[in-house]
Amino acid sequence: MSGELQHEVTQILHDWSGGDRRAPERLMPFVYDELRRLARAFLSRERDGHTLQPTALVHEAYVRLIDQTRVDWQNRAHFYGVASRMMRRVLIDHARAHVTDKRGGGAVRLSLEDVRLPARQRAASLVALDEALGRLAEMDERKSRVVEMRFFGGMSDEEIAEVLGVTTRTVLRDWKKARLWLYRELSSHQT
Amino acid sequence: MRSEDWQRVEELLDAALELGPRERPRLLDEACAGAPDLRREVESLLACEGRADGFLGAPALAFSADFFDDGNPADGRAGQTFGPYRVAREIGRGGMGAVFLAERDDGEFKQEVALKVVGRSFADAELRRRFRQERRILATLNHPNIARLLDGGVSADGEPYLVMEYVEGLRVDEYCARAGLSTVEKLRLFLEVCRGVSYAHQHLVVHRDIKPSNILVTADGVPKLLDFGIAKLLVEEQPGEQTRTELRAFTPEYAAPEQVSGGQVTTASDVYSLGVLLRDLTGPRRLAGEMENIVAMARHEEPARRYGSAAQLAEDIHRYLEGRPVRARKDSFTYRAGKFVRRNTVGVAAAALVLLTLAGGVVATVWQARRATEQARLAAQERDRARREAAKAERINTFLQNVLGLSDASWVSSNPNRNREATIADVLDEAGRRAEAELADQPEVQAAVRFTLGWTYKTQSRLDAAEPHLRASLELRRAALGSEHQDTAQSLVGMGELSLLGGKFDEAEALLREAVAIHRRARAAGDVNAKWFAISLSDLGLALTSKGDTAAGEASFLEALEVGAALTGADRALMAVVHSNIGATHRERGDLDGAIVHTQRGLEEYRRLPGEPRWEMAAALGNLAGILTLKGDYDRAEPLARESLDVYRGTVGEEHAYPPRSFAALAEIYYRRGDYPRAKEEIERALAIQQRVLAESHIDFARSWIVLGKILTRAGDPARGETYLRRALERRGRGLKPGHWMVGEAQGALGECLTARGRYAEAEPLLAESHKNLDAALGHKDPRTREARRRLVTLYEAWRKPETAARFAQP
Repeated sequence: MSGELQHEVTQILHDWSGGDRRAPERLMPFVYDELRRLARAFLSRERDGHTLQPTALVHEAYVRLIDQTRVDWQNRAHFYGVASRMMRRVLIDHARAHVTDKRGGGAVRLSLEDVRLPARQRAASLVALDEALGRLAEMDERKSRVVEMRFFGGMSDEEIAEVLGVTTRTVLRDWKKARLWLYRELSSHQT
Repeated sequence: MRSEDWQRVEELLDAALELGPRERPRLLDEACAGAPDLRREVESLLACEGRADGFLGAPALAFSADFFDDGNPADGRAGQTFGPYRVAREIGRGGMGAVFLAERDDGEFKQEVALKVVGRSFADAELRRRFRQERRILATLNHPNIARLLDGGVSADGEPYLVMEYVEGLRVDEYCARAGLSTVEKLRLFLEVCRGVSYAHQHLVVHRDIKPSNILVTADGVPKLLDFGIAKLLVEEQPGEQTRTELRAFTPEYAAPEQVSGGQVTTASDVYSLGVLLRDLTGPRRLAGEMENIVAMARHEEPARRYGSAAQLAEDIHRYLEGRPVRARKDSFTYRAGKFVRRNTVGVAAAALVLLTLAGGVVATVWQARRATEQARLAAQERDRARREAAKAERINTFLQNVLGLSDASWVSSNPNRNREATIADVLDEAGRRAEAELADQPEVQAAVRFTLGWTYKTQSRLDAAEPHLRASLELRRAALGSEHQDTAQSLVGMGELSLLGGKFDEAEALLREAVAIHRRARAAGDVNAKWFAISLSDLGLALTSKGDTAAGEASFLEALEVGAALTGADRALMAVVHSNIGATHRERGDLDGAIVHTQRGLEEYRRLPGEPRWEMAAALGNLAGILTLKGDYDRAEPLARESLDVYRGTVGEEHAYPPRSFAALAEIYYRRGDYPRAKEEIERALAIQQRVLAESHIDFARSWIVLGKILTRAGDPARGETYLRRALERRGRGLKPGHWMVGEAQGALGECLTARGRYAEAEPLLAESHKNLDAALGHKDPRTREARRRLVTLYEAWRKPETAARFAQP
């Protein structure tokens, strides 16, 4: 990782905390590329689904892209927030390539409970989840972000609370309700 | 759905989720009068509760593992980080992976290193543990002719890597050619190589791949061996695959015949490779006379007929250089020991430690005996004692020889797994079997040997195996030396520690009090063994605090500090233990700030100790993490708890009584942060280990049950939570003094659970009792007492008794 790139990315993060509203957008391409690269390097080696931790990937991207001496904890949480969105995009982009049958069948919600199901089913489920999250965002943006940060980004409740400016308790309640909604959504739309 | 509609759904959902399933219909009846759509919506969501539990439980990444298999090779490594190291460029590539020049950048100073990426994944935790353990042994090699192994680990991408001293230099053969060295100069250079190899062999590390490309000569003309022991680190430990993997790890031209055939690789294999190197450096065709004999002996087909060590090979070259006749190896005790070591590469480092402990005793006693005999005027009594010591030393020596010199036949035939290498356990078990029979006529000697064996078993957590030896050593010493002897006290301490580890604190207290009393009287008589006196005081303090007698425990710890003040070197570890134990007593009585200060002092002592971290340090780290958790400083607590777990893993391993405490500390942190899935994962790990390693009645279970119970209470299954919390309260009530804060803690957790279940009348006495106990033990301001008050407030609010709630509200 070149020092220049790191400098640039760190600067964007600073601009963000300084009030630059376009900063997240500017950050995204860097984070997307890095996460895709890392995911490939990481996932092509580790087949055992249990050992995969999104936090490790996101954190690695962070270490590579950000000069940590220049940022604080809040900056990190915001970076993680962007990284979660990018992680979602990376994973969904790759999942789409594996969707052979757009109608994933009734097993969609089930296949997000069991990592051992065939790739085709899991891919279809992830894509369906992504779409459902889009619908959730239309009526409740914050809940869709909570799911994004937790499920795709592996962020802790504190970090999510920091990004959203709410209490941890709110994050937990959002998560619980969003999960119920998504579960029902994926069950009913696919059968 | 429009956001406004969703908002109404959500409000109702929140309210319903707070209620039990039975109370919900009434709420919906009231709220949804005339709005059937709203009711249908909320009911359909509530219906998913419970079923949705596993949904999205694993991170998205876990579902996507195989979506990235597009066959692309990994991108260039430049810039990639491995822990604190950043790759600059590739500098070599071998059968075992690529080597890079990398840089460590701490901000303060920069260091260039050679970084080897191991082309092998360590998905298996056991494999990772062994890798780490082996790495630690290698990291202790510190010699000018060996490129040091500095570090190693597993990168964030999951790739294992090793970090070595970066050597700038030429391959040894190239250097000889370019510098135009004479034969004598080449031999002197070769002697330096032997020095490095010999040093490593003394540390029981075999190189396994000595060849010109693994020896670089610096600009100053210093040869350095690269990759010491790395071959073993990379290919070893895969049962059933050994032959095949061994084959990958050497260079055929330089490998000894036993390496090629898949036999046992030993220090003699290195001697063989050195022989080939010697031949190549000095020019194969110009060898004559004694030099030819030296090479031939080093390269003998039969390992046993080569030089016994690199040092012996070097000695012969010295003789050659000085024009003296080359000498043949003498069959001696050291030769037999060397042979044993060479035959048994696995676990031999550990086994050697035990034997050295025994042998160390021999050296000391022999020396005492000799010094004694050299003194001209000896009291008759002392002469007798010296003679006894000498005789004792002789017996230990013979016994050692017997264990070491187990003939191939007897060893293999008594060993069900033929060709399996002897392990530390084999050596201990064999020594244990023989000690009783062969030293029957020498109770004192037998007692010393069996104490060492029992103590070693104990440090390996094999408490059942330790017990008979420690008990025998105590009984033998009592009979032979009397109940006032400090050696007897030592055996008492051994038994006392066993009781401590087994959670039998009354028994431990009695044993340790006896040991302390013996030492106290010895001190009065002016001849005390300060180290063991301090150990027995420290252990007694532990027994007392474990029973809940904090004040007496602390007094014992403070006396241990005083007695041990003069200890030095590795013995300082005891001071570190005592400091952190004092920290724990402060925590017990609610002085958290004092606890932090003392525990940190303990940690400082630990970090100053020579060598690798010790397991006791993990305990101190875990304590500090626990205290910071109580103070709400989770960000500082979490890394400490993790470090504690790492130290445990690197020392006692995960299958041990203590690591679950670190898992429980982590679980508590996640629980308090509201991350229940992660908390549950950690505590379940703790319980799984405890169920395997602890006695069923051990009090440590209570800690894990409480954490699990609290998690279940808040994460949707208070009924199961109650079961665990009741068990925990019962266990603590049985094992601790009434009113102990830990009893209060269990009462509080159970009370909270019952509150959540709506059983207010049952919760009330528990919460009141909990508050009373905690207040008395820890004081009004301690976070645990405040938590107890908060629980009371929650109870009375839920119970609709706001006036009572207000009585307990925080100021």
